[in-house]
Amino acid sequence: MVSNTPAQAGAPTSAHLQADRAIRNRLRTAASGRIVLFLSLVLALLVLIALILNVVDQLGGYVVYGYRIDPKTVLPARTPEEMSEQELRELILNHTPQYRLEAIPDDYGLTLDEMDKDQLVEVVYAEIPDLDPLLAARPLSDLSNQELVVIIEQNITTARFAQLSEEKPLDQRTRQELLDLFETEVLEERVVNSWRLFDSLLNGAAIVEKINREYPGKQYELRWWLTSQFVTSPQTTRAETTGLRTAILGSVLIVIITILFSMPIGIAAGVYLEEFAAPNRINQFLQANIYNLSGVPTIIYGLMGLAIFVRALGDLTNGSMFGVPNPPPNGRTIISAGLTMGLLVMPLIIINTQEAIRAVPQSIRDGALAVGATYWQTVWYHVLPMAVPGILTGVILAISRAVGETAPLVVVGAATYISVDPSGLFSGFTAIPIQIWSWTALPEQTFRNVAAAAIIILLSVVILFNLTAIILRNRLRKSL
Amino acid sequence: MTATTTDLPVLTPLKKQAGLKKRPRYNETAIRAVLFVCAAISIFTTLAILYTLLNEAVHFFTAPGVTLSEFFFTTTWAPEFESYGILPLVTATLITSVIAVSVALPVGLAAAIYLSEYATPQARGILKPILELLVGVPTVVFGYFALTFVTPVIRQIFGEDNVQFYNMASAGLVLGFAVLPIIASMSEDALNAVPRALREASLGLGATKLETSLKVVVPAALSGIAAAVIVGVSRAMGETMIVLLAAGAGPNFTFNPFQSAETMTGHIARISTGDLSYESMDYISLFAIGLMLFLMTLGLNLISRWFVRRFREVY
Repeated sequence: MVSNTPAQAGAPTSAHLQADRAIRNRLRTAASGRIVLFLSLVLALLVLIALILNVVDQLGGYVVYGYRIDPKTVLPARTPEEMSEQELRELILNHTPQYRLEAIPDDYGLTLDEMDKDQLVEVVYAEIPDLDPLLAARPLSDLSNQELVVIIEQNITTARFAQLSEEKPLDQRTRQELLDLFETEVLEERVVNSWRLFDSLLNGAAIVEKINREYPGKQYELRWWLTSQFVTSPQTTRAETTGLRTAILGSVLIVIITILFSMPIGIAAGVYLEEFAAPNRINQFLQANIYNLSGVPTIIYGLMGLAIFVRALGDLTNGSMFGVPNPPPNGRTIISAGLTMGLLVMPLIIINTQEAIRAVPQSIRDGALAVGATYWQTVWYHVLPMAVPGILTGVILAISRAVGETAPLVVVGAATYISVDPSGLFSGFTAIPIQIWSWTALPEQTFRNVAAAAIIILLSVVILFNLTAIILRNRLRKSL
Repeated sequence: MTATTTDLPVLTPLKKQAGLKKRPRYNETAIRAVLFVCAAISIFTTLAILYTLLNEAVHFFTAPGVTLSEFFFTTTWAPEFESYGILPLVTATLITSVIAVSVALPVGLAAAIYLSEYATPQARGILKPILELLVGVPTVVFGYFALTFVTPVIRQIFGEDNVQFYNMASAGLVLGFAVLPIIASMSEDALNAVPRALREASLGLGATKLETSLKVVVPAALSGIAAAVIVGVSRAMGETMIVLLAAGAGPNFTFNPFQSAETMTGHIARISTGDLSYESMDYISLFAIGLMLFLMTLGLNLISRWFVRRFREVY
């Protein structure tokens, strides 16, 4: 060190320089540290954006359609009598052995060009050895409506036909409806290749060119997967036609039961713990127990629901004790799911109720008690009304949780494929997150698209609820 | 009140008139009892969880061919071949959770420090709700994100030969962002609880804001941060949908995060989707795994609460 060198003239010594450099370094570290801290917050935001963009990317895009079933195998063949002369001549020229072709003018006394239609038909039958596979299918435009109905009926299962007839009798449908039905039900029109949304929007021309090159003559379009038809139609086994209606109804019913069950009990428990409970051991234990319950993995609630609501109380939860006709074979029903979910969100409601009540100023209670109100009157007429926004926040968060929670429903026994609407509380069920899971787990890209559409619906519901809760809480903090 | 109060001229003794003697209020007592019962329902929930888990787990452990030492120390879980070693499920759970926390701790803590020490109230008002929105994202959506976005990216970076389609790395990484908000918000609470005087003393001695944050505030809040990390691990261990979708189906005893392996939660969820007979070993073994998971997460939660209590005693 050079500390004994006096710096009287104010000239910087090496010690000064060193200290100066050290301070600069520290300030630089402080500035870059701040940026690093900020960036990590931005990273969390970026993940949220990436998550949403990734979903949106799968929400639409170019798709090429093909048929799983070759139309030729379903449609009746055109007989030679139905063909034009020109077509008959081509058929003969293309499919008759060369030596026979040369012999035709001698045998029939006429060249092909001179023959009329009946003679051409005669030649076709006589000369072409293996005729049947060569005959083209009749074009759809040739078929009458009645013929179409017959073809549809012959090529789908009787159950499916009965189902379709129930929706709307086939002979009353318009031509376009019948043609659509023929494509989706009989030919099983499906997506053979698809592109992501952003790719489709940015490189649309290149993709169209590629489609024309690799799939000549195939139908293609820029398809959106999130349509009103997707929201309103029941589930089917194919991604192109499936819908979310069954799952939406299931989710709504489950959430209703969840809230009806957990809201009154949860709020009452919160009121008791905050306003009535003496600080004794029992109540301390109750409080600690609620905190621990809120940390129990959700799948454990599912196991409990499976053992208690589905199995032990199966006769109750499948409705057979209430005389429900045709009860399901086990308790894997909406009511079991709702009760399980109710127990799961109850700690959330209790803790939020407690916080809301704690935030009500003590002076309110003192004032009410001083003018002679009983404890319950104080709570009911003065404390609770002031705590309503806070309690509501908890309930909204609980609903949002119940809508998005998947694992307990999987264990309690949500069905991944149900095509009929739930008939009541005692029917089997599926739910939106269950559908997202089961569609995502399938290997086909088209099911990922459908899952993306369902995710957008789920996310908008959940984010809407959470935003409401956050805004409500922030406003509440300001007002108190 | 008695009828005499309307009869003004007759003066009854004040004590009788106003009924100053304490009367039992039956309504109040009844309401209080109802409220207590509601609060006690949470105890029933706990008892129901414990009872179902223990009941079936006892069936499992008393079944012929199942021993405790096999359960805890062997490395094959295959109920169809009567081998019940829980280790592969536990290691997969631990690996995904460790990956998750090693992502969520640095990012979450840094975000918490920024929010608590640097952000202006206005910036906080915007940034905090975004973190809270991340809490609200259903985990099945995170699972979709892991499978359709993170997995392809990881496979592209490390090579498709090295990384299986279902792998623990992708699941753990996304799991990290799922538990990040809870770690961030608990850490922020801990940082906010550090007395202002400590910061002022440090700044007064000439420390920069970063030095104050990292060398004074964070050490002072360390037990609260530790509690946050432990809760994060516990949440990561109990999470189901992300690992069910992205980590793989089928127990696999491996320490390679690029391989597929099934966690405890993933196994419970996958097996319970099938049609289970209530007497089968498949069914009752789920509860043994569930009990193990319950005890592990409960232990972590208790430790975390102990940390928070200790932390409160300091200031």
